[in-house]
Amino acid sequence: MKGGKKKRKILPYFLVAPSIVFFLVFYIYPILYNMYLSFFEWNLISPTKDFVGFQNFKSLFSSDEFLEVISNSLIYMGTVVFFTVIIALLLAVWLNKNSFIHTMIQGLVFSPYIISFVSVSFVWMWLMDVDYGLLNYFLGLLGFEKCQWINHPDTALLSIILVGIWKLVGYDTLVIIGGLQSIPKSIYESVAMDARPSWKTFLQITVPMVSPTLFFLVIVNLITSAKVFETIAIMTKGGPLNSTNTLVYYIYKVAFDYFEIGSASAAGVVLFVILAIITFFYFKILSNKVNYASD
Amino acid sequence: MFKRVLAIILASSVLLAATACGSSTAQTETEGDQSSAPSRGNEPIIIEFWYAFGGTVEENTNRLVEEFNASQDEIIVKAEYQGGSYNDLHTKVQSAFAAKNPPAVTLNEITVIKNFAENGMTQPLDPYMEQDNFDLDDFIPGLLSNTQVDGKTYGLPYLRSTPLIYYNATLFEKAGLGKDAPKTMDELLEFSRKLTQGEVIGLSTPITTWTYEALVDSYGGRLLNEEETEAVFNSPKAMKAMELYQQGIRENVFKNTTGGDATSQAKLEFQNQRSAMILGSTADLAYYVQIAKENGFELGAGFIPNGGEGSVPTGGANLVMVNGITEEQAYAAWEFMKFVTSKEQTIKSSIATGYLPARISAKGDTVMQDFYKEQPLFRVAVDQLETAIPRPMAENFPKVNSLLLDALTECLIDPSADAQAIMDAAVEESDALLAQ
Repeated sequence: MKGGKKKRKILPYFLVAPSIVFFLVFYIYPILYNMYLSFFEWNLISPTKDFVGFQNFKSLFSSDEFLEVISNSLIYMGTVVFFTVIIALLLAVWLNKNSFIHTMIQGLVFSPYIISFVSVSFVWMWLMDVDYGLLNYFLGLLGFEKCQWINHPDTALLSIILVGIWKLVGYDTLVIIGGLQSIPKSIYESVAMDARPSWKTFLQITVPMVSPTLFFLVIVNLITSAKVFETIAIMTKGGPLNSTNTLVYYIYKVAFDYFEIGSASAAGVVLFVILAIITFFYFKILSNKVNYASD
Repeated sequence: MFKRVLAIILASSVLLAATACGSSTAQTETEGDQSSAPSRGNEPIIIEFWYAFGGTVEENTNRLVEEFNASQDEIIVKAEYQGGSYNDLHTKVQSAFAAKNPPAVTLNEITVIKNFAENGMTQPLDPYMEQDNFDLDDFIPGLLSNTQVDGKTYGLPYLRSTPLIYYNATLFEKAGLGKDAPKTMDELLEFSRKLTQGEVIGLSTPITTWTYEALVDSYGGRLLNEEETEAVFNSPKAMKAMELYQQGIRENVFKNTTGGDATSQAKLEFQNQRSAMILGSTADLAYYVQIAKENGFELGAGFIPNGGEGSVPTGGANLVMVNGITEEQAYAAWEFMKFVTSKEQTIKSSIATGYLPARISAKGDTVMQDFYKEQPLFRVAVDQLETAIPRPMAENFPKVNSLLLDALTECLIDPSADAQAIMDAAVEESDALLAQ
């Protein structure tokens, strides 16, 4: 009897051990090692690492390039998340029907999400080509001037943002449709009796009812867009003139173009802190959502 | 509904997992092959060779490895593709080196040779060369300068290039120009003016530091001083290159392309006959020859126009041996490096890829000479090597390079910008980096 109890005490640990080990080796250890490296000057290949204290952080925050990178990242995150969620909400309201055509469009809208970002980037580069691109062709038909897209510092970040939105919108739409369908039909039935305009119903009933879903998406999208890398690495390499250089690409560039692992790790810690703050709010909101549901 | 979302997400992740599995099984299959490779009873020495670039370079690499493995039975070389740029390759070799599992042989782009050598990632080849009486004098001197650090040789020239001016001779004729490339910088501008008609633009100028360096060198300027302690790309001679660029762009007879894909965009314009001239690597020659044939225009290639001094940089990569491998592997690595850079293989590789034949004896060989008779354009690059000068190799050059690229972009996006001020600022920042 006693042996059985003991077994029950050990067995759970034994069962979760593989995933705990995996978690420690592939998540916790790299995070700690990255923090450790951020205090050193090292080029990845030399046998010695020089301890430099907070020097890496100091030089990061005193470099214009890095401050520009932070501001690019924040602009990218803010704009992508804002427009993705709004567009997704409108699409979701439109597509929230079970007819064949609507299901098909749902599938189409979702498809960018499962295509590799690398191929997506190449396709968009062709679309955005200044002379032969489809986008400029249509602009020309409408009588507009050619847009420089990723070739000019004024429009490059915007172009990257456009691709980011296009990529994420499908996922958000699908999740919001899920949220919409969990709204009890009875509410709409009672609203219908009031004969109020549909946009009011949308703003006063639909949006508040799916707001937990929207909050969830905002957080998830923020984290996804903070980590944007592929589009930038392929389409612009951070340029022209640093205008599309965002955190993850900057880390990559510092580590592997400049061979400065210490500075790159320090930038990694900054990214980690930003993501940690967002995640903190994410869990806050998640717990609120549970309260909301039980209200 | 949530179930449907879940199903879609699950299905897509299963798909992803399936493709990932696909590639890993492919790998085990190739690994399985090695057991059936020839051996003399003794276990053969297996070494890895990591390279970058697909296309003709990859085909040629595979051919080299196959021929080497078939030529003897004590060493097996396994060639592994590690990305489409030297940066990708360096990144992977560095990580593998830090993880103490590096390939025995790989390629170093010529500006990082010193960086990697000084940090002990690559080893000097001098002991092996002495042992074998290896004749370094047979290599073209202009190509050796970027293989040596502090009097020691760290690499053998393998995929080496130099910039050329390519031109569309058919468009030249239409514009009433002769069949020759512009010989001076003034001619370059003048030709561009005449060639710019309708949808055609005179010269495509992808904003890259290498092609810009070619113009600077030709004017007699340099990017860095000889000791590599200061940046000098704001000197009066160097600024002539910038004046030319800005002038051409202001007059709409040059057209710049920027971004991660600047070079391929410019190439696309040239091959679609929307631009009549382009500066580019010798490595593109084989490709352009084919394109010109398909698109029905006559291709020309000439020296970088002379700005007064007429010097040119070289480019490309050297074959290097990585540190931290066993003695046995080092022996195998050296044998392989000797094979790849032998006269016979140098000729084969040069003809297959358009990269330069690095050996003087290869250049003079009848096979090569016959080939040049048939394809005179391939000769241009080799002849230009007479005026080749080394590229910078300072430890902080990658950073200086990116400062220069930003400054260039700034000057060319707005061609009436104050170039001197922009370059002065970039030089000041570069000096601080180089002084470190």
